[in-house]
Amino acid sequence: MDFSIRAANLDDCKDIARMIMELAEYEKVSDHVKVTQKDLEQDGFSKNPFFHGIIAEVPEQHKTKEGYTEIGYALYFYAYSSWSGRAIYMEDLYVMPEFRGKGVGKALMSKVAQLALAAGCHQLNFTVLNWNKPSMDFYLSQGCFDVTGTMGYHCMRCEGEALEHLAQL
Amino acid sequence: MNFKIRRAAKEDCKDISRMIMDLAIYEKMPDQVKISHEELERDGFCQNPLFECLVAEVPDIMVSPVGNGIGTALLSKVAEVRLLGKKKQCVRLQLSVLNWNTPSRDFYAAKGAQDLTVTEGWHAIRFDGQNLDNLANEAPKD
Repeated sequence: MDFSIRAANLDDCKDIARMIMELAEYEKVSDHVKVTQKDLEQDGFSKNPFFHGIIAEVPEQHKTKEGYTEIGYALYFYAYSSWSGRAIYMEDLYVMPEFRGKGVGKALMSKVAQLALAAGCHQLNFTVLNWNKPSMDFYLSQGCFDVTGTMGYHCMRCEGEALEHLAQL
Repeated sequence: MNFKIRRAAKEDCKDISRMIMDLAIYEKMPDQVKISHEELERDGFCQNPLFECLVAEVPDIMVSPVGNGIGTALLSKVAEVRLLGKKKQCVRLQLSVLNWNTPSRDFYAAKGAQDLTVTEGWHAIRFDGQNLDNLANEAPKD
């Protein structure tokens, strides 16, 4: 199947917002999604963006029945490891169900890795749900390692009232 | 105990590097530390810094710094950073902690942090070294 990978631009935010929701539904957490198309436009395409995006696109003849040609995306941002230095964090990787198994996810992730190396990064980090076997198997087959499983790191988060309270201590 | 929290300056990088190693020793992984104060200086104090840092300073060390509210003050100051201006703010503070590190897990739990690995099943995954190179080499040509 013919597809192309390119950097996301401001006009892609509507499709990115749509696919963020599709990914959240797959992860069974769609009620957690608060970010809007406008947030993405402001935060991803301003002078100092909080994230970068890449899009997987198919030609017109392969578009979905709803007419979408943007069929996958990855969101990432630059992070830092106090042990290894520059790093990339891949926040999302998603391919629409009917386009899976054709190398699109691999192409998106490889592109993020290429951008990581070009920027002098030594790590590509992301998270996956432990019950998401197709994704876990895919990532492991590509040569990553499970930091939680092998090293014992747990992902912690402070948000909402807890974060407000913490900031006021 | 008298202490203050302030933004790190370039001159602090040697001390930050020392404390990064102290933390890595505590986490039983000192061999994983690959960067020195030079990378910290380059990456944290350039035009577009890749990280920001707060340091805690005491006038002199007469007692052990642990258990005196310094950790809380540092964490709280990081949480305060979430207000970037009147309208925009950060909605989450994320970190990781080793599963055997009970004092730290208890500390973060007491501050209201949730353990997403336990409650939702999230695992941290990483590509580095040769595996990262191999993955990058497979990227589609532009």
